[in-house]
Amino acid sequence: MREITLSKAVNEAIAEEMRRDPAIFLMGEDVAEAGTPFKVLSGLVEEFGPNRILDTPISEPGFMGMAVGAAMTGSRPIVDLMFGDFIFLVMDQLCNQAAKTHYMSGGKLSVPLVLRTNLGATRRSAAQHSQSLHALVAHIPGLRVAMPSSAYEAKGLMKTAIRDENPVVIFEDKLMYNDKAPVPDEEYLIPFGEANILREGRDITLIGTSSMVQVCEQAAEILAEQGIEAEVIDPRTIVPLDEDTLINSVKKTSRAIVVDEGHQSFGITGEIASRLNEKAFYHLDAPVQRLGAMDVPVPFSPALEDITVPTPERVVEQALKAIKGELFHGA
Amino acid sequence: MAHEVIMPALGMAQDTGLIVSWLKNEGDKISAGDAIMEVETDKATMEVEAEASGFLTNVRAKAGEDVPVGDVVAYISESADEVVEGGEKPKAAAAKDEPAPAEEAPKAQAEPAKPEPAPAKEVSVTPANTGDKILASPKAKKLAFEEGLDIAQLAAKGVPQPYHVKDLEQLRGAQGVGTSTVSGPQTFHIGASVPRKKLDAFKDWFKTDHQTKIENRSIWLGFATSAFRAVLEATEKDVCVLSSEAGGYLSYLNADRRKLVEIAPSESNAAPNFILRDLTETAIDMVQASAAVCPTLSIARSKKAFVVSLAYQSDQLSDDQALQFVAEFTARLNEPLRHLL
Repeated sequence: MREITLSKAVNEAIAEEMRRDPAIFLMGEDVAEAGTPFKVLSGLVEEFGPNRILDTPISEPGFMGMAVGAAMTGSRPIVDLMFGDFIFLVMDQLCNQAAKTHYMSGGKLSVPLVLRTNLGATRRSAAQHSQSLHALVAHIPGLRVAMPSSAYEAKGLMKTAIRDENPVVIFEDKLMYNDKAPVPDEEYLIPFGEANILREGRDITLIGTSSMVQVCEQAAEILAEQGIEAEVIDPRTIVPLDEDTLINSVKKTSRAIVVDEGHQSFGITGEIASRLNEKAFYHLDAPVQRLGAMDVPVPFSPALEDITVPTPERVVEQALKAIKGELFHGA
Repeated sequence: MAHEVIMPALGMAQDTGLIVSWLKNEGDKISAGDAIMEVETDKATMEVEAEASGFLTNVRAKAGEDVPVGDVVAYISESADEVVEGGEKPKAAAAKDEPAPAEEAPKAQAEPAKPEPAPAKEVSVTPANTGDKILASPKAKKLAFEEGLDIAQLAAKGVPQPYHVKDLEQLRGAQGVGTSTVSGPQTFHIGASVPRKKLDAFKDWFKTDHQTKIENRSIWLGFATSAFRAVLEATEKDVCVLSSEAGGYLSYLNADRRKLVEIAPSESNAAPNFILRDLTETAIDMVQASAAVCPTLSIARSKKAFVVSLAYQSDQLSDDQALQFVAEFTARLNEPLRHLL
């Protein structure tokens, strides 16, 4: 099977869907001429023209609001938010308008829009361009949140997002744009709410989102050398969340670590750990562990930045503690 | 009544324990849970707690003495100057002091069950540096419960907490084989037999009068629930009985508040107050059940009598309550009309 980059996979997904459905258009800053700073959308304006690939001024609240209105009135907009950190600028349009319109209109209006943006630190972009803010929107009922972990996932999830009748926020890890993975030529979609078990194991469950899936897989490799079988699961979408797959895995392994690049406090890791605790408590032989980003603004210093995010070594360290029964007193 | 203080088994291969010091003096007023003596084994020194409240009396072993596991080293009595005679079977001695249960026929006797694996009833053992609560993972606790393993034994052996599933391995091999293990609360049994004559007459009368037969089980359920309620003075509360039948357990809530012929299982999930076993259709005429979950009342049948047996643990019923329960129940069997009053 051919291998393509995550950038290319997203580009293909959008292009294929735009060819299929003329109601789809895309707008954002530097999306047409520049093809985004990450070159994800290169070539689209040439194929679809400036009326369907729109460069906007630097005005996130404005174009996000326009997109909500367009979606309510029959279009299917894709909004490109250059950095996930800018999501704070569109919070009202996204959380108060897009997320609630279907409910507030008694089901008469839908907002089938996709907000594609990114997350991820260690790109030396400093505190305002390195955050992983998916937990903010996952908290709002009415929004769906997808977190692709590879080129294959990115393409399949993007196509599902575009076809969804609800507002979907899709977070790509900006460090993975050049990562290649096998992606079939044929069309495929990845349904929301179906976790992917990447590796089976019986000793501990490692649940990772986005690029943390790779971190978990690397940790599982290291653990395997020590004879420990880790199961690695990618939930793919955190809203909706495939609880059953996670719970069944933990029932089997009795232990779990949840790894996510959002800040650890009040984040995705806590939410997933809590659900496992509620629904698999009597199967647990160790406390469910969370590994998120350190609760600090992401440092600009590369040396400091690197220690704020979960690494395979830290996952291994926590996994061994869980298996040896050394997690007493929150150690 | 006086409670024995026994040299506990703190280790698997331990024959004796050295009394390092008495932490209470003879005549001291003590409360259940107070550390009363310090005991040294080959591994560790531990404090032994009083199981009962009262006064420390009849101290038989001094500090510095090496005492065989299981030996009585002192008593806890209700008054400061009580002298316990003999002391081989304090339970039996105490039972004689109880008011004779009910009138004529039912003869109920209380006897202590054979000192099961261990003398642990009178002591609770905790490693010196941890609290009373034993820390174990939810899965370890669940498995231990399902397999009937006693996690407290790990603490007694000095295995560091918290316990995980892998630690249970140490118990799986040990239990059952162990000669000096520390187990959970001891189970006591009370037995009684009641002539069948009057109950049979009552059933016959009912049958001719009402053209319906009353099931034995309904009688047990109705009478036992009513007796239990009387003893516990639980007029306002629900009394729930788990009846062992058809290969499982059925729950009966407040069976005494229904007519005998209308007693039926309920959907209740309430915690059972006791378990009822009807053995009258079997050849079993003597049973010493465990009371691991709650008190268990068994009714068997001999040639001319119903043989009633109650198993209970001290944290479920006091000796007085247990005796009264059996007395109330057997009184109803002996004079069924009592139930209707």
